[in-house]
Amino acid sequence: MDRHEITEIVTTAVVDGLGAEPDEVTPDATLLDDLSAESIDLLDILFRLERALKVKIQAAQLAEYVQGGIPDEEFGDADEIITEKGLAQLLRVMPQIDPDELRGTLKARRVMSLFTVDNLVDLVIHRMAVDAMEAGTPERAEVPA
Amino acid sequence: MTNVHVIGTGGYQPGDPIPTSEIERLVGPLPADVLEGLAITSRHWIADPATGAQSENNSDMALKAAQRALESAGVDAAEIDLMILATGTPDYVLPPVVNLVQERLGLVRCATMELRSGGAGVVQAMEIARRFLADGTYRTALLIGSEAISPVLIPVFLGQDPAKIRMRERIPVYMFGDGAGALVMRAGEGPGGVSAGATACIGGDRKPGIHAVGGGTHAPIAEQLKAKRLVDLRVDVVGAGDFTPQMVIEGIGATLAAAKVDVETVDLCLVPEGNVGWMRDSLTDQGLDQGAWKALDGKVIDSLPVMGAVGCAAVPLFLDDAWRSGRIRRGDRVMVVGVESTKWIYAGAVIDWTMP
Repeated sequence: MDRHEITEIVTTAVVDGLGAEPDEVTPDATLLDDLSAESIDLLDILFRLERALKVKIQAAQLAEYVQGGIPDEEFGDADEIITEKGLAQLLRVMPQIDPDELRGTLKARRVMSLFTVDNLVDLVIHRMAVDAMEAGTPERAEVPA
Repeated sequence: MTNVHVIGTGGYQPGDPIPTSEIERLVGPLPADVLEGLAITSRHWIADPATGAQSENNSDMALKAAQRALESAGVDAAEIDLMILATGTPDYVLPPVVNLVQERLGLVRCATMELRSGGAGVVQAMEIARRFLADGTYRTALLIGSEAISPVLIPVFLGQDPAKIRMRERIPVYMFGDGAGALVMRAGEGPGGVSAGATACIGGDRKPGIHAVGGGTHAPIAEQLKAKRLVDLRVDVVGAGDFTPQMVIEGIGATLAAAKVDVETVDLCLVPEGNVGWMRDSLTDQGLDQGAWKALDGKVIDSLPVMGAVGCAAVPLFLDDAWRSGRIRRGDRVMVVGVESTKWIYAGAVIDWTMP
């Protein structure tokens, strides 16, 4: 399954999970801010992806994926402002962000508001690759660069 | 003051039970852990899931529950001089459902009240009735809780592709049921009966956990008519899951204090949703499963799994179910706590059960 096909499936899941108009769900639309998704809607989208792609992503794994395993105290400072190490991680999973614009102002609780439809596609591809490797069939999906 | 006793209970649910597998066919599936957390295997609806046609309405159910309660009490309808009904889904905005039931019971003249406090309503009614009966204002009270929620659920899925129904709209269809429950209360000289109750709304600073929007006067009718559905039942599943357990725990504490009884003396505690997975998980996660809740372990009774969330009907209907099934026996100390997640209302009372 290639990225284009996965993008189509993710887009359908987001449109149906949010009751959104298809033209609203663009790759660069953020789930929480632009599309007004709440936690129940994220659960809905992930459940639709599980059924369509047999890829299980828990809601809690969304934030874990974005934080990349960096401990909370290294990801944000005492005022919850994202650190340089945190920003570097965010740039890996959300390449559309501008670190210079966010440096010194982005709070940890606002991080997920930057997460776009395209970032979700990346997460799904990542998860499929991990699942495939664990199942011993690495050809099932391509690991993103 | 004279003691006030529960002398009769009755319950009614319409039609055959609708299994959860049928709901899944109509609105699409839920994740296994969500389904398990809801813990509802069947419910009864007045609306036919296939057509939306209604076999009866709220006041029909309320009447049937009332008649069963009167029968169990051995009381003739003509003896009732106080009626209090709680519902959030009346036949009409006005007249009150209680007066439609009054008429059908053949009572030309009766003191009546209708409460709109959701799941806390009938327990609030118990305290109002207890005071009026204890001071001799009235002699025999009929309390009813009735709820007809399925009519607002039908438009969520009728003629719709289940795959297009959002999870936030699916979950209420799985959750809610219809039904009615009733109690007859009377003052008497014997020991036992209903203690002083407690009630509070603790959500004065909190947004509603459930919001039934439409058909009211919050917006111009012309504007409301543009909505996709006449009434939209919005359930904040996450918010309700977080705060309802806090409301239950506060309600239990306040009820024990008002009744002046020790939790160790309580034999049974009726809390709708008190035994379901999401409630127990949330209590544990928030560290609320200690103290009184721990002392009540194994004593919580709840018919939700086979009746669904039935709002105002829950406390009297589940109480009737527990009494008829022999779970509640004469001499038991029964605490009832009704909670309402629309605007976070609790009401509780302790009953030293004197019915055979």
